[in-house]
Amino acid sequence: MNTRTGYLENVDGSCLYSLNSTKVIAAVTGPVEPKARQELPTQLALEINIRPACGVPTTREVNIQDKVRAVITPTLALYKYPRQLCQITLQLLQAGETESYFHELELVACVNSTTYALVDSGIALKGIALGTTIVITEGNKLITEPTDENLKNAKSTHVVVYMIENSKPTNLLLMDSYGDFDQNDVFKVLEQSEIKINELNKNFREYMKTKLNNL
Amino acid sequence: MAKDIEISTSESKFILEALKQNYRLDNRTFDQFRDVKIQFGEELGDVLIEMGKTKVHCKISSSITEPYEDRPFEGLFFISTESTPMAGPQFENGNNTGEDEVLISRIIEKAVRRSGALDIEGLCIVAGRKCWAIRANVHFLDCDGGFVDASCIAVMAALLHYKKPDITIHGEKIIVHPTEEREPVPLGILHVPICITFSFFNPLDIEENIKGEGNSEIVIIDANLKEEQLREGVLTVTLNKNREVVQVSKAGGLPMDALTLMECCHKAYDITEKVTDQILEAIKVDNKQRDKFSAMLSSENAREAS
Repeated sequence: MNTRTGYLENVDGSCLYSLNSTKVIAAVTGPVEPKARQELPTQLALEINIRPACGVPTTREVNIQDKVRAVITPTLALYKYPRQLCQITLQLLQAGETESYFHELELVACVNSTTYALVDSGIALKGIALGTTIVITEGNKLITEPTDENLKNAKSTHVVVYMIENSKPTNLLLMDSYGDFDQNDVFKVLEQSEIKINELNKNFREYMKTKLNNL
Repeated sequence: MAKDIEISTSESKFILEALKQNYRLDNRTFDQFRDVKIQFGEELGDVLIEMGKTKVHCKISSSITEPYEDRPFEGLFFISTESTPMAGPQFENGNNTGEDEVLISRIIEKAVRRSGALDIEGLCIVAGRKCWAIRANVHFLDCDGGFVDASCIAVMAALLHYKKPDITIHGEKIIVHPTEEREPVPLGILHVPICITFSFFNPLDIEENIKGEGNSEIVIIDANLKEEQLREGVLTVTLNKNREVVQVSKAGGLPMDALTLMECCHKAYDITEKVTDQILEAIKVDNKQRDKFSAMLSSENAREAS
């Protein structure tokens, strides 16, 4: 996984994120003045836009958008910024998966890059959201951070996003699974993903530590 | 949302006064084009152009569709330029009807598509039935002026870099060969148009500009965002290496002398030549990296392709 925050000049927070062949840029602007129809009287309004690498946004991007929104909303300190707006724009540079079948890798890339960009922007957060993709192969093997080839040959695919507070995964924010699996598989995936998320969190803290030290 | 960039009176006075004394904030001379940085992605037709702080990404995609009924021998070519708040707060989501945004996409459209830079007849597969549709997706990532110039370079570099999958035709049937199976084929590029934008400032009053003989207007090449905000006139000329003027676009603003226009075109030609060579060189280097064995396997005669 490769991340680079502060990549863009004109937004408050940004992050260039790449994992295997998936590449995305996240940009965060906020808190800013919202349009009248977006304004919420007691809390921060959230606007998320995902733009695909090729073509115009379709229902597929809106689907990812909704999932990202569901995951990011609980991590923000919404009531700290009443009548304000936070604008998140995600530009995919490379999908890294067959777009007509999958969205798992992009979803995880969007969630993780948004988290980095939000921290970069300095907006108040209650915790951070980090996610990972896991596939179960025909031979019942678990693969974390799969490639497009792994996704195609998988029996089931799972996206797991955890909320991290005080450096520990506390809450399961999203579990998005497709394919053929049973209860046991889900438990195995959750167990495996928690290990991975802890690792991601360690990387995240390490990254932010170096960044702050170099300021 | 869609906040206009505001430059304080003191800052604008400072910039203009500096221009009058032959200085620019980024220490460039008036005729200096910013250095262009070309980066290719993992896939073919994936280019990131950086000019100073301006960043533009372009990605080419292709599909097979039916040609237009009135143009059965031609393929389709689209350029999509949509800006998002990512580039700066002055851009709005899903609303690309602002004057600047429309102008940017029209100029690029004219420079690349309508100048016939891409051989669209070469995209025809079965006349009237099937053709390639090539789409250039331009993503504005970061704005520090010069979007037109940067995106034109991005689109051309991406088109030159892209290769579409090889096909075989059996009557009505088309077989698309995956890239692993057969070497993909590059697009037919007929010429490489490069846009150069000039910005005009008037150090004296408007009367002097219209009636005066002095020609004291300040002309600078490749303005950054702040200079763009303060300029009083803008001219975009598009040229190619064959010394052909593809387009001259000046939508209102400060009136200018015909001789100034000629002078601008001369200056632009030098930059065009340099940038074109840089793009072609970058493509060559990248192709070599991608395909280590092509030189060994090729039966092509030794000649310099430009």
